[in-house]
Amino acid sequence: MKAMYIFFLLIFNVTAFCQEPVDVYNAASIKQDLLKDAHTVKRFEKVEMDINGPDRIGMHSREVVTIMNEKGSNELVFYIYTSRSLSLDDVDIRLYNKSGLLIEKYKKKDLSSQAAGSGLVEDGTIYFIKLSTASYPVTIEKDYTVHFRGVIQIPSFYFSQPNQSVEYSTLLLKYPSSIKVNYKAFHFTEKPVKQINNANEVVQFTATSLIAKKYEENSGPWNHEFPHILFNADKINFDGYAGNLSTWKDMGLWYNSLVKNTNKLSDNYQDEIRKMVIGATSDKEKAKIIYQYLQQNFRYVSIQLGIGGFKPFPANFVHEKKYGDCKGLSNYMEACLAAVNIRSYSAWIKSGIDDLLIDPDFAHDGFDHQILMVPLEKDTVWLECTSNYNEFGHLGSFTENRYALVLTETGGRLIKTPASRYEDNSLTTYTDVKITTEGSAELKSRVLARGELKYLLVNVSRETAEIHKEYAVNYFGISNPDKFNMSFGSKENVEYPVLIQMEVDKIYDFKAGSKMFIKPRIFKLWKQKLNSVETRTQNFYLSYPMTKTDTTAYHLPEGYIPESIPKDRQLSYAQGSYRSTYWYDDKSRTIYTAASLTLTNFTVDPSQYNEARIFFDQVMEDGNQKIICKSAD
Amino acid sequence: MKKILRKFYSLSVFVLLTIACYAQNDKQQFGQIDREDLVRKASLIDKNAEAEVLYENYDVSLALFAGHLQIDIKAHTRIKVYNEKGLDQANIKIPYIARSGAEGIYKLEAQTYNADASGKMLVSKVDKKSIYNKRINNRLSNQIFTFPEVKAGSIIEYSYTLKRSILYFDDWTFQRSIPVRYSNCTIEYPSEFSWSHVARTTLPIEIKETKSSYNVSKSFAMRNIPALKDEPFISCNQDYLQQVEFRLNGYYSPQLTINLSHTWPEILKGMMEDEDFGLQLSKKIPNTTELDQRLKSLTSQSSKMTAIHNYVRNTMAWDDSYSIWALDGVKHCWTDKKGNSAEINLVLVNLLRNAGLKAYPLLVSTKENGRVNTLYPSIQQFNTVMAVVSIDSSMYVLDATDKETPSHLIPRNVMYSEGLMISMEDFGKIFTPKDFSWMTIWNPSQKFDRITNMTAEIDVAGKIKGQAYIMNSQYARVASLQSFKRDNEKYAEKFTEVHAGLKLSDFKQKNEDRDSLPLEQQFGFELPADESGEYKYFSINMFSGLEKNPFIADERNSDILFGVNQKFALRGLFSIPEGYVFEELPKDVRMVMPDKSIVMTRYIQSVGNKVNYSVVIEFAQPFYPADDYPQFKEFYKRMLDMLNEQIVIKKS
Repeated sequence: MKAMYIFFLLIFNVTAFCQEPVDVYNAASIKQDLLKDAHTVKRFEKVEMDINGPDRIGMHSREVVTIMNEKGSNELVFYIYTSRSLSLDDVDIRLYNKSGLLIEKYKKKDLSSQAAGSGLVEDGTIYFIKLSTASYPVTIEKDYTVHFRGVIQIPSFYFSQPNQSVEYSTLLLKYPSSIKVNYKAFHFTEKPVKQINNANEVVQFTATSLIAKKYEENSGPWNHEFPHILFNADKINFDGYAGNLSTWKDMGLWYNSLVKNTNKLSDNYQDEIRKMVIGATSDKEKAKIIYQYLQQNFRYVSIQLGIGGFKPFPANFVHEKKYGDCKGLSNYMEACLAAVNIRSYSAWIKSGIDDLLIDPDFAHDGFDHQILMVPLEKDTVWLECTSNYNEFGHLGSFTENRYALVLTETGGRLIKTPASRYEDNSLTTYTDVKITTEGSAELKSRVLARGELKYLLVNVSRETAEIHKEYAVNYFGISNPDKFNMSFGSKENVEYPVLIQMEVDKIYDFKAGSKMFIKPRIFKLWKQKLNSVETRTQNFYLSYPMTKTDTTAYHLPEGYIPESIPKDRQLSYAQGSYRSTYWYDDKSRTIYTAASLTLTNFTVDPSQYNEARIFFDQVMEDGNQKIICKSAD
Repeated sequence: MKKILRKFYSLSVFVLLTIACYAQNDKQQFGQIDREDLVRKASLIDKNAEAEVLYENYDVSLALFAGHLQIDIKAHTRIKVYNEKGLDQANIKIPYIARSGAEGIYKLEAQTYNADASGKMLVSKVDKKSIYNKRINNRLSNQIFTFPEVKAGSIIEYSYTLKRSILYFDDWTFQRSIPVRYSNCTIEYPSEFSWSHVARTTLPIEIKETKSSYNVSKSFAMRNIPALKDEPFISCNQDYLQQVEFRLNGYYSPQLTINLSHTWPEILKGMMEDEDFGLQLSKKIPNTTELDQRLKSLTSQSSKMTAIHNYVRNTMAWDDSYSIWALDGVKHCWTDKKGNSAEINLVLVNLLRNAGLKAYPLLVSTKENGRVNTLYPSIQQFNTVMAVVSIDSSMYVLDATDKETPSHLIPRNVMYSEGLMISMEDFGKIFTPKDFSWMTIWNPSQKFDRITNMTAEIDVAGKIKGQAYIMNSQYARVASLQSFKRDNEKYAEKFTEVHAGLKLSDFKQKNEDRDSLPLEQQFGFELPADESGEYKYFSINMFSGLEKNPFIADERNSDILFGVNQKFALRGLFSIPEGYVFEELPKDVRMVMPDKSIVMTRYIQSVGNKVNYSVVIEFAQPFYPADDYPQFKEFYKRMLDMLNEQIVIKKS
C-alpha cells in the first residue's frame, strides 16, 4: 500500500516539474562526483517567488535534500522565521529512508514555535521541527509557502551551503512589469531565462550539478563565498513607508522618510547640550565632549518591533530614558550635534568581518548596524554610538575598513570607513622579575594598551578577580602564578594602564642539575597556531592589525650568572614582522629580553597562508627558547 | 594560616553587623533606598562584583474562595549596579504561564535611583508604554522592560503581583550570577493544606514558621550569598545553587481529605501503574524477526545482551531528549524506530527480557541534571531511565541513546551516582515496597585509561622525528571516539596544537568498531627541538591529554567531579645525536596525595645516547570535595610542573 502511494506521488511530481529526475528520493542514485566532500546533496529545489505588489510577496519553496552523514544533520531541522509581516501558510515535511521510501511526514500543526531573537525585545516567532534518524543517508523534503505583507527587500537566494552539492536547483521570480526588479549573481555564471507575458515578467535561475565546496576555517561568514543571487526593486512598501530601494541614493531617501521628525531634540534638551560644550573652541572638541557624555550616561539595549527594526526611537525619548539601540543612539547623537550646529550623518553598516557582502555596484540592504559620520573641518570622524569605551573617532574591527551607507538629505552615499593602522591597536608590556636563589620570584608588569587591546582589557576590568587571573593565564599566556593581582587605571587614558603583580614559587620552567631554564618573557606575544592545510582558496581572517612590544628584565639573585641567552631573531612575512633581542647587563646582574610583533593587515590571502603559518610558528618557537642561568661557583 | 584567620574574623564581625542592622525588620518598602547603598562603589560581598541584589522578597499566599483557588505572589527586587558590565541587570524578563490565563502579572512598578552631583537622589520611573509583553511559546510569555537612566552606580527596583490559578509553589532560588545581600521567600496557606519544603542549601538559612488557626506561614531567608560561578569539572550548577523546594503533601479538612503524601514505594507504585511507564514494560514488542535471527546463534547471556543493546542503539533514533516517560508507547516507537530516552530504553528492557535476561529499568539522573537525594522522595529528580542487566553476579547498566559506550561499561554521565532500580521479576504483578532498590552506580576498575607511547630521534640539526602510539581504553576510548566522530577531518590536527612547528603524518586509527578493544591511534610527528646556546631540550608531555591545567582558580565553591577513576601513562624512548650528552635528567619521583587518591610516578633513565621514561598518574577517586581543593590544586600544579620538565642535552 505504501509503495503504491509513493508511486503515485512520483508521477504527480514528474508531471508538475518536468526537470525533476525520477529518483530524487533514492540516495543510491547520486553521481559519484557530487558525493565528494558532501555532507548533504541538494537533489531538487524549486523556489517560486511571486511579487504581487510593492508590499506583497508570495513564496513557495520545495526542496529535497539527501543527508549523507551526521555532519549534515542540521538539514534535519526545518526552521522558519515569521513575524507580523511574514506569515507561514503551509508546511509539508517528509523524511525518506536511503532507498527513497517515505517514513515520516509532518504538517504545520506538528511544528513547535518559539519567540525569535536575542535582543531584549524583538518581533517574530520561529517555527521549527527537528527530525531524527538512527542511520544515514536519509532524504528530507521540505515544502512550504510563506507570504510577505510588507516588503523592504526581496529575499536573497542561495544555491548551496558549505559541504553541499547540488543536482538541480531553480528559482523563479515573477513580478509585475510596473516594478523594476534588478538582480546580481555571485559565484554563479549561468544566464537566467527571462519571459515577459502580459503585465508580468518572469526570470528563472537554474543551477545543475554543482560540486560541494568546503568552508575553510576562519574564512569569515560562508555566504559570500557560495553561489547566490541578490535582488532589489524600485518599489517597495513596509508599514506604509513606500520607497525605491534600487539605488543607494534612493535607499537613503527612504530612510529619511522614516526618521522625519524623530531626530530633533526639544528646545530645553538642546539647551542642556549647549551648556555642556561652553568653552569648547572647535567643533571637534564639542563633538568629543558630547560623545563622552553619551558613553558615560547611555546604554545599548536592543528593542526592535515592526518598522522599529528600521525606525529609531525619537531623540527626545533616548534623552529621557538614557538607553537606545544602535539606531536610537546614533540618531540621538546626530540630534545633539545638530543642537551645537554640527551637521552629522547616520550611516548603515554591516558589522563583524562580513563587510564583504556590500557590493558598491549593486544596492542591497546587507546592513545590520548604524554608526555616525561627522564631517569636520580638517578630517571626518566616525562614531560608534553603542560603545562605552571606544576612543573618540575609533570604530574598531567591528565596523572599520568597509562601505557604509551614509544617509544624507540628498539620499544615500557609499563611503568607506577608515581602517585601523597597526599602531592604533597596541600592547606594550614591561616586566621586572626579581629572582631569589631558590628560584622563586616577584614580578611586576606595567601594561599599556590601546585600541582593540584596550577595549579587551576594559572588559576584563569589569570582571571578578578570578576572571582577571584566568584571562592573564589564557590570553597573555602567563603560567599559573601563586599570587596574582591585576589593577586597572582610568579608561580615559588613550593608552590604558594596567598593573599586574605576581609571585611565583618557581620562575624557571625546569631545572637540569642546578641550572635554571627560564622562559624568555612572561607575556606571550602570539598564541594562535595556524593549521597546516594542503591548499587554501579563501581568505583567512586574523582579528585586527596590531603591534605588541614586550620587555622583560630578569634580575638574577646574588651568585647567579647567565650561562646562555637566546640569540637575537628577526622574522617577517608580507604582512607581519617580529624581532627579539636579548642582552645581559653585568653591573645590575640583569638579563633583558625585548621582542615586538607587528601585523599590518588582518586578512591573510590564500596565497600567503603558508608563509603566514610558518611565520607564526617561528614566532611561537622563539618564545619557547630558554634563558639558562647557573650558580657562579 | 594567619591570613585565613584574619579573614575569618573580619567576616564574622561583618555578619554580626548586618544582622544587627536588619534585625528590627528585614522587610523593605518600595522606594526605601538606603543612602549608603546609593553612593556605594563596590559590593561588600565581593568587591569586584558587577552588580548586587540588595534585597529580594517573594511572598506567596494561597487562598481558597468558595472552592476557587487563588495564589497571589508579591515580588520585590532591588539591585545595585556597580560597573558597566552590571548594566545588563537592568533588562528584566518576568516569565509567566499565559496558557489558559493560568498566570497574570499586575501592578508592575519599576524605577531607577541615581545620586546627582550634590548627592540628592533622583528617581526615574519605567512608564507603562515601555513594558512589553512577548509570547515565548504556547505556554509561556514574558513581561519585558528595561530601566531608564541606568549607569554604573544606579539602583534599580521593581515589584509586581503575580496571580496564579493553578496549584503549585515555585522553587525559590536565593543565589544568582551576582551576589545577593538578602533574599527571602515566604509561603502562606490555609491550615487545611500541608506543604513541606526541602532546603538545598550549604550556606546558613533562616527558617521561621508561624501558625494561626487558619493559616500557616513559613519564611526562608538567606544573607550575603556569593555569586554562583562556573567552575571546571563541576557536576552541574543546579547541585550548588542555594535554593528551597516546596511540595504539596495533601489537603485535610473535616469535609475532605486528600492525601498526596509520597514515600518512594507510593510513588513507584503509581509509576508502575502508569500507562507511560510501568505498563510499557510488559508490552509485546512486535516484529522482531531480524533481531531474533541475530540472537539465534548466540549462547551466552552477555553476548545476547550486547547484541540487543547494539541492535537497539543502531536502529533507533534518539530525539535528543531525556525523559522518564514513554509518552508514545514502546510499540509505536519501535515501529517508528525513534523516541526519547525512556521510550528507547524501555524498548531495550523489553527486548532483553524477551531474550530471557534479567533486565530491569533503572531511574537515574545524569551528571548535568544533578545529584539524587534518596531521602527526598520525588521522581522529578530523575531525568532519564536506563536498563540494568544482572548476569551471574555482575550488573550492567545500558543506555541505548549512547552510541559509543560499550555494553560492559557504565555510561559515564551516570557514573558515581545513585540509581533507583525496579527489581520486579514479573511486571504484570502488583508493585510492592520490596520491588525496588537503590543502586550505587560505580565501578572503580572502569576508568579513563590512556597510554601514550613515543619513540623518536633527534638529529644534529635539532629536528625531532618520531612515532606516537596511543592506546585509549574504556572511557578514554569513548571520549576519543566521540570527538573523532564530531569532526574526523580536524581530529588529527588537534594533536599538533601542543607545540609550535609540530607536524603530523600518517594518522591511523584501529578498532573503531571493536568496542572491547582499546582505540589505537598511530602517527608520525616532527618538530624542532628547542635550543638555547649549546643546549637542546624537548618535552615528553605531548599527546597525553594533560598539557593544560584547568585548576588555576585560587578558590573553589563546588566539588570536583571527574566521575570516573583515571589512569594516564606516558612511555617512550628518545635517542639523541652523536656528539651530544644528557644534562642532569629530571629526577625519578613518586608523588602521592595525603589520602593516596592520586599517585604519580616517574622514571627517567639514560643508556648511551638513548633516554627512556615512564610516567604513570593514577586517580583512584572520581570526586574531590571543595574543602580539599587547596591540596588538590597544589598537587595538580606540581604534577603539571613535573610533566613539563624537559630533557636537556648538550654538546659534549
